[in-house]
Amino acid sequence: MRLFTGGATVSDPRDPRSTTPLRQIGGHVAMTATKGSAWYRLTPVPWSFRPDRDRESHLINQAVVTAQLTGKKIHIRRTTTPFPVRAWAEQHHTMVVAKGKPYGAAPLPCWPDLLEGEQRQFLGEHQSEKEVFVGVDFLRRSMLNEYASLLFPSRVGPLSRELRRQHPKLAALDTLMRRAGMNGSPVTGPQMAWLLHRSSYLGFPAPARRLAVEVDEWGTGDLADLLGEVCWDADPFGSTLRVTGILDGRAVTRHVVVLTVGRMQQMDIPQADQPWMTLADSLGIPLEWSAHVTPRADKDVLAEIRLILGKISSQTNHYEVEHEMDAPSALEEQRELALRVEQELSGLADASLGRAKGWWRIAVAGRTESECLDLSERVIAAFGRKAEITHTFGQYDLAREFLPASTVVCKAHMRKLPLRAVAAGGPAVTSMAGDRRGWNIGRSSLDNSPVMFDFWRNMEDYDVSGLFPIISGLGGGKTNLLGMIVAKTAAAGIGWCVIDPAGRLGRLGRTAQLRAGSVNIDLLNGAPGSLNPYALVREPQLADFAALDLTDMDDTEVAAVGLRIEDLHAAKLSDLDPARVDELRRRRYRQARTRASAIRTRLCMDSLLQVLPAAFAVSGPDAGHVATELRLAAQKVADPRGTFKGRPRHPGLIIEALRESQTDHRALAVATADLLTSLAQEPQPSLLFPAGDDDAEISDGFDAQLTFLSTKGIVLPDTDSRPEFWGDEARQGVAILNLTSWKALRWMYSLPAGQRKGVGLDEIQFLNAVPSGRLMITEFGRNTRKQNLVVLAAGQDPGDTLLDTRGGNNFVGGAFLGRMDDLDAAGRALRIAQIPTGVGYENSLLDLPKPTDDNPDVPRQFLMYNRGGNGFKEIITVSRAGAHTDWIWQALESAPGQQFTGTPA
Amino acid sequence: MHVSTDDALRRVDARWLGVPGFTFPWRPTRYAAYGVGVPIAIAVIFAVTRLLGSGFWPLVYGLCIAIVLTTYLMRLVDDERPASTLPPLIWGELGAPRGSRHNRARHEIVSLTSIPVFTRGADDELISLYCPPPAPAKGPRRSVSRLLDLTGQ
Repeated sequence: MRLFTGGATVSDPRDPRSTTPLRQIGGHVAMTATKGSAWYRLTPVPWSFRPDRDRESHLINQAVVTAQLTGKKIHIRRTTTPFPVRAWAEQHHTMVVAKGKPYGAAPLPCWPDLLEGEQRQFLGEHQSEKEVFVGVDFLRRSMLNEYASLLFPSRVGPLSRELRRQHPKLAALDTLMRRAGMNGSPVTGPQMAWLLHRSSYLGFPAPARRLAVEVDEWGTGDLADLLGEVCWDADPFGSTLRVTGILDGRAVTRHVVVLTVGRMQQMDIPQADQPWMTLADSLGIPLEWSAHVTPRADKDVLAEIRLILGKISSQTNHYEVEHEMDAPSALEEQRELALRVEQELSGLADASLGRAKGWWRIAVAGRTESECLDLSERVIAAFGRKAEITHTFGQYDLAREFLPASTVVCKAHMRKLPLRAVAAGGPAVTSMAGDRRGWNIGRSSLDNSPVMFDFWRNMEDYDVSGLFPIISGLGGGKTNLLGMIVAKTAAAGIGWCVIDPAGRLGRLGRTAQLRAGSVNIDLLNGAPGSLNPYALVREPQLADFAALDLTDMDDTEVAAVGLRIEDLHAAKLSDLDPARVDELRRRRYRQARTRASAIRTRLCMDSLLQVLPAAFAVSGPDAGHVATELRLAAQKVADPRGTFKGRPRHPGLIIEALRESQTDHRALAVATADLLTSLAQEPQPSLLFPAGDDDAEISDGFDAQLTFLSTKGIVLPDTDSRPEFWGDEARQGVAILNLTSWKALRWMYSLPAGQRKGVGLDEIQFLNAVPSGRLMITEFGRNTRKQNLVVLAAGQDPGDTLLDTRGGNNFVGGAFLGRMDDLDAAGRALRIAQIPTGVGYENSLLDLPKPTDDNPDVPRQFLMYNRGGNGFKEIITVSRAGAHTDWIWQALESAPGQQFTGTPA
Repeated sequence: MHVSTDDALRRVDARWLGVPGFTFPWRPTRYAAYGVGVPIAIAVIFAVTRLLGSGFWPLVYGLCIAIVLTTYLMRLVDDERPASTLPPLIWGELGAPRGSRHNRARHEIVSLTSIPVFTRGADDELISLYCPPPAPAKGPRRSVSRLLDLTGQ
């Protein structure tokens, strides 16, 4: 069937035929000469790692809404749009400059190149985001209206009056389409123009203007560019369709293959399978979907079922009675299925059990015919056995089905599906990773859309922690991810302090792009006492408590400032008695000093215990007494009015205190002191012991934008061994790593509280095993909001439940979970992201790609979790993207032992 | 949620084994094949007898040709592609616009230029958002000519 000829008259018989069935677009209603269909844009549906109950109820709700449209023709159109990369770049740059300006922080000279490279990367890919439109035929136009529209095609009068008459019907349809499950909103004029453009310029890249401005902001002149004309042609029985048109002043040709969805296997959605319309989304090929669906009345389906049952019965009888042969076993199976369908439809069950018929098509485009066919093969392969995708004849007629208000000409491959299976296609299922306004950190694995994320937004806008654990097994790519984030954000002028146990991250500080603002400190080459545990914990200052948040006060504090709880919400700090407020500040200051002192004692004790040989301090018969003696000595040192009054604190004082021990275990205390004195001469433990009181204070040296604290050379324990089995060298290594992390915590205070900053920690699984290490992670977690600090804490198996967020632990603001090597570790990692364990989600971490001998550079994937804003849990792919980031990857990926001298300017 | 389709119901493959008590010596054939084969046989036998004259052998030849034709056609027909879908498919292929260098009329232009777009105002009135330019009275439209010239067709 040919579509109606419309539009301007073409007087030259040699001129091409101009066809489109559409006459007018009025609001969200598209009118042809005979019918009107209302179009809606569906809200993207988050999917990954949502509870199955939520996902299932979404599908059922959508099926129920579809059931309400029984007898009406529904046209589902899924198209893609480009990421508005220019708008993003503008907003991103403005934000970076604005956030840094009050603190004198400005983007580095490499920032414009990086930003330009990111834009080029996405300009090259024109389609990256999904948009789903649904059209419902709701109006059959009367002959009078039809003629009115013919006589006055460009006059609004008749159309307006016609639509006003249909208002109740249309309003009811709008309400129905807005219901949960469908979440459709009426399309705007520009959105409809965009859909028409995507449907006629099939397979074309997006117009350049679409990359800069959302389509709703387009003016009349822009719409004239959208609503142009293209030329379609195809060879008889050819395998592709050619689409030729002018885009941005250039002639463009695309070859398009329209594939048809055929038989489908049984699936368990969402439990085991993802929605079947999204199976090829991860390929990154811009796909156009068109589905013409008609929900069927139950009575029609039942009549058909009865006919089929009669046919089955007749066939069985024909075989068994009339010809005394065994009937094919398929007949029995078909009879059972028919009876099941009949039972489902005959009962008073919910509407979602209804049936629909329809045709699902996928358009794949390429620059050349061979590229197009190659891409279509990849799409077919992506569906695998789950759905049979066929490439049939009739490409021209199939392509016309993509146009709004079109009809189905090729009726082969009609699908008859339960409404739940229609909904389970999940056309609107979309990746929600990222916040569309920060740095590009990868792509969504679900639909290949770019993931932009602003790490500091959690603290600034949502009052959520900025601690992001990066957990993965060996070779999971956590150091690369950490390095990439540090490099990209540092280019924007953000300060970082990064601990670098492997010596890889420090290479970033040697690149031409970051060299000027970086300092690399090799802590193992430091002077004795350069990691004095007492000096690493900062002494709180009264000025830290200048700002008081009234909502943060407990009942005692509220009473102390003379307020009543019921007045708290309306009270202002300026209204309160200044003396009382000052007293409250001092009280908090005193509490902080006491806490800092306790932390110093704990840190020093832990460090000394780690430095002592395991046979003496852990597994020896007197291990408990050693710990007690150390504790008593540390208390003596901490006492402000004790023996050591007025002297700067350092572990050497502990040795002195041990020698003065008067307990029953004095001999053991003296032995411990002797052992520590001896250890103080060894290279690594000597970093804890200054030569004397005069060397106890350490200089920060935190005056560079980027500080890389290298601990390359320390021996760390085997990941799988428990702390009690760590060797002496490994114990010392963990002590050094722990103290280095505390140094990073001290760095945090070197910058103003509101300034954006970040700390990169590595190998946190070992810190997690030491009490003071856990305390440090807690300190970081507590301070992120106050200090506007992002902490990227990379490590392997998270071990215990310190980072577990299920118990209301709000230290973690998000997480990156990479490939894990065993089920238990995957379960522990999932608990960080509040993902239920024991229901199969562990496999999503176990199945993430891993480097192999054949493919050592396989892009690494992470489950990204974020609590800020609406929150999301999505798998993202982190890989090299564009030449503009080569300097980052070259620095991070140079092989161990390979000479890296920095990239040239 | 277990998702299955009703595809199996369409595969009820009605076959005719022969009259009761007498099974045809050939494999069971779909009723649809008889439905397609009978008109083909009539047409072919008619043509053969017109060419070769009536008699036993022309009848046999015509029948053989009809069987071969029907077998070939029925290979294209299954539960996914019923026989009724073949004529529109062939008709569509033959009528599809071609990329001919010599005859522009074989191209098909999908034109959106003549579609006015109205948007809803605050008082639910329709406001013109895009008004199509007036069509030229004569001659081919310039944009189309330019497009085909640019692509060398």
